[in-house]
Amino acid sequence: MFSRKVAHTEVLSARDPIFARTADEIAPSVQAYLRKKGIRLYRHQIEARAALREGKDIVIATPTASGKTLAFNVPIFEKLDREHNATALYLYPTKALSNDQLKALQELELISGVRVNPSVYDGDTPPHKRPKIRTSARIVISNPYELHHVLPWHYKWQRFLANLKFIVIDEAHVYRGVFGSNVALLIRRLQRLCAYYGSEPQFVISTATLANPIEFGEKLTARSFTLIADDGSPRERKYFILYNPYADGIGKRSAHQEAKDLFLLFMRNQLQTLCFAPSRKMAELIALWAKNEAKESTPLLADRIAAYRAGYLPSTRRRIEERLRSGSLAGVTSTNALELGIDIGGLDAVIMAGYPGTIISTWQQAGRAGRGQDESLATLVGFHDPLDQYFMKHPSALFGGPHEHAIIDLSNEYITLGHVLCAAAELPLRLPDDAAYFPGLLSESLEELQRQGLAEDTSNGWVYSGRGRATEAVPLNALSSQIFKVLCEGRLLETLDKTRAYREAHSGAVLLHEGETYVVEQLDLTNRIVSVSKKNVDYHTEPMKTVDLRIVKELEKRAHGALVVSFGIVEVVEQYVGYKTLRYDQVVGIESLDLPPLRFTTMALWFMVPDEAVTHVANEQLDIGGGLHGAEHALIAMMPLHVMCDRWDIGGVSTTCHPDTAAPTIFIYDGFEGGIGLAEKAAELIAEILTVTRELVAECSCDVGCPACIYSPKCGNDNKPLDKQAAIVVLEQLANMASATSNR
Amino acid sequence: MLIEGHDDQKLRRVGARIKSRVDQASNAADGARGGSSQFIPALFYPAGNSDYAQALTLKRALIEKHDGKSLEEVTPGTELVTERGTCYRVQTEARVGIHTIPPKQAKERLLSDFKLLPGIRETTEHALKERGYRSIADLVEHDRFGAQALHFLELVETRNSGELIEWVGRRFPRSYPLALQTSGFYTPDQLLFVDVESLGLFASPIIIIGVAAAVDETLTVSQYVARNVGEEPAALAALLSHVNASTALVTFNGRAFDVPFLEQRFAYYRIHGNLQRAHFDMLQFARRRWRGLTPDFKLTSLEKHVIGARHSDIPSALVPEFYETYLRTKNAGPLLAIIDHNRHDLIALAHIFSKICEG
Repeated sequence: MFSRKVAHTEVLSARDPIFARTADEIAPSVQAYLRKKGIRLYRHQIEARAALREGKDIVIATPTASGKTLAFNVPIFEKLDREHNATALYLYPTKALSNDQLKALQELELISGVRVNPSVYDGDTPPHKRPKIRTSARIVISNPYELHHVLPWHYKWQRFLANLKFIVIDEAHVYRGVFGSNVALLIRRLQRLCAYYGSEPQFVISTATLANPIEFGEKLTARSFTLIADDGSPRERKYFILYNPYADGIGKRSAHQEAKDLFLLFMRNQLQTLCFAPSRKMAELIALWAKNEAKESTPLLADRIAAYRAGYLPSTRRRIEERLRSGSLAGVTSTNALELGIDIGGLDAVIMAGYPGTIISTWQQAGRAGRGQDESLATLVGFHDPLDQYFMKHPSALFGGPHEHAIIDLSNEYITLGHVLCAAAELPLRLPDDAAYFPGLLSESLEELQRQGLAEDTSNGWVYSGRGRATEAVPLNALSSQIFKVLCEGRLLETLDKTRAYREAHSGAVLLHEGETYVVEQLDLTNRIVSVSKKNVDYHTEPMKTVDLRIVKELEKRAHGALVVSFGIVEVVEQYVGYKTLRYDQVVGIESLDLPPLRFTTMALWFMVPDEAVTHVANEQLDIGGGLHGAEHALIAMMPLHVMCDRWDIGGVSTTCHPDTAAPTIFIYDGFEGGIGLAEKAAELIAEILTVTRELVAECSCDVGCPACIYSPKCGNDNKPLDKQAAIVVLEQLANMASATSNR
Repeated sequence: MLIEGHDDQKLRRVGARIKSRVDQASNAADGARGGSSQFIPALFYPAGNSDYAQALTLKRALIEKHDGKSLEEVTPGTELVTERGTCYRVQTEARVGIHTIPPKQAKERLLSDFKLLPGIRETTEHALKERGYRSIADLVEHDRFGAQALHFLELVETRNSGELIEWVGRRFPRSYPLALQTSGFYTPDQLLFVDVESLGLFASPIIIIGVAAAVDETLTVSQYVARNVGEEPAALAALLSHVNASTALVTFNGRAFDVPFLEQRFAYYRIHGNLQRAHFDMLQFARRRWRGLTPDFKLTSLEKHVIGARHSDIPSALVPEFYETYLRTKNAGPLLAIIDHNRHDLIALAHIFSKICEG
């Protein structure tokens, strides 16, 4: 029953470990640790150590579970052993990862006897512990958000910064696109302060496999990197299965149901399994369904299944991680919260319910399977949308295809201006000395800040002269600051951000938490409280929403040849109009909702598609809607390399007739409140972007579309409708117009 | 080719956006502090709170009165030249007699509280006193508490107030009156009253550093005014000219605000100044002393309820707005109001210190 749906099996062969000798003796303290733990270093770990000892900056890009952490911990501990004042900063993208790393470092400290007092310093660190950490810790573990707020207090960190020898940026691939550009400038601010206190730390960047690790490292830190990518760790054979519920063209059961079936199948065959789901709700649902079914047949198994996701209390998460490591849990469903390096040991099997959205994530998730001595299994369950189906039919796109580029932009005025502001509040900025930290943009940024009354040119340099905290005005990421509390009989169950509250916690919604069902009684928007009651229900809910885009103000109009491109302020309005109740996949009811719309103001570019293209498409009997939609996706796919962002930073809307333009229109907008300069830059470069996009789609060898051309991993409409031929016609027409002799 | 819009508007847009975010951040913080700001129209103020309206009236009057006049014309002072540039110094005197705690009393009180020693609570103290121990000095030979007693005694004998305050702070709440006893080890002229006016929260510029010191019945108030952001380092350097090895600081909420703020600004301008020394933060002592007697513990409220009325003044929260008006209009009126406000705060602080020490 299962085998018919296996679209492809890729066997990743086993490999013996490759060890190497160090050119010199490892410090006795660290050697004691390695001996006690029975560790022999692999070749890539030795290479990393050698490079760091030579004073080089390294980027480590070996696969998950290849011992990346040890590769830098060994040389760093050796250095901290030799130099008694030396310090190191470890940056992790999440607090959970910081706490996980703390345990590893504490063990290393204990066994090696090298006193480094490793400490986590983040938003959860109680105030009374902070001074001690600042004055005595030699390894500080933190995250970019905390660092951003700590830098203005640099004088309190004088000892730490003056002696800083290493900055470790782990899981660095997370810092790409707009977020990555913000982190890169944050690092520049840190480097400026280090220089002020007389230190010049080496960098260690640890990342998932990327297309451009060295360039990425250089953009992130302004240093030159040695790449450590030649993995020496052993691997057992791994089977990577592409599983297609829709292999027969119909698909009687949903992909979620199929994922649940596989999850149970694996667990019943004594395989400890981790199932990645695309949303919090799906992670909960798959766990719940699996539990319910197990109760009937194998009751002992039911208690060994759990869900894991953000939103749970840290203690709950620790308990689940621990039970995974010890083997007391047979299976866990999770959001991508377990994709990053939290230590849960290796698993026998991993299921990905749906393509995770990037090749990077797919390999990270698959990398969770494999525990050294046994064969392991990774399974990608294809969803119904064209993107997943493409991978099912073209495995080479997954196994042979290139990984994504991690793009960072240091020339974005919106991002740079914010960090120049923060830097001016940390230490007076001097020209030309400090220009190196903000290449090409420092003096004009400062002049603009002066115009806004936020900076002043004094004999001491450029000084911040605003009233608020500069860092408060500069968010690193598009994270919502409006947090809703979910209360059950007055007890705090979890917290949600605003968008999630609208989507998942409207009144009547079934909220799943640790395998229990709660029904939302009231969503209080004023006090940001979601009141729920615990009820055993056998259905779940799914919201229905409409999305509208409205032009608020046109700021610019540009002529590229014969094509006119507009740029301006738009408002994206999401309205949750109702919700469906479902039993398994069956819709059993529909209720309406009375919620105010969610409004999101940003900047967009847009252009109208000329009548000729529409007529042409109609004459060929193609679908204009699918053509516009496909052209929009392909443009978004090509934008990142031109405007230097991540495709998840931008959104798009296409329509055959937009009320504000009264014509077929394609909009592309910034995924950041207020806009962040992406659409703005694209509006200037649209002729180039259209030319390469047309080439891409026209020359793509696929029949009806593929992830390399018109399929989008983040489409809100499941990649429907799409019409590749119509998209080519539309792009052809637009590109021709844009490159028509411009009357300059 | 751009057919509508202007090329040079891009940076302007970016700038306007960051400006509005900084304003939002500063408003949110003001709101959290219960303060007010220019971005909240007076209309939204609760009925009966006329402070804001009054202050605006005051501002208008000041601007009219001082139209076209420079600071130098409206308030006598001198341009002070320091190695970190210039600032404006305004020096005035006020009649304030400062009561201090007699050193003998300070010593007795400190040495008679056995609970200051780790391991001693009320029952132990009672038992020890029953057995004839009168003073911590008597305990130096004690088997269990001797070492600590000796250490404490040394601090008292050497009048090491800085360490003693920390010691008391470890054993008792910061407001414990014993901590203030150590101020008795200072002569009035060694006490430096400090109050800072700033443009905003941490990491924003300081506008005025006011200090006051008493000799006999005369309190000399020196205010270092930054007439523009560039004069801030000079004001910081000028503050340090009042601080020497034997100086103790007296502030109102200075532990949480003025001192860390000043230290941050010293670091910002690479000025070497050490404010880590004996520091009497009167907010904490005032809280304990007058709990329930005033609606809140703002300096102005204390002044009104404890010392007597205060003349018409601008609320602290409006200081940044007044300063920005001064910068914008070059009219000295609003800055004058801040200088007055700062001076009154210093005088009030001296009164409060004196009143609490008086017992």
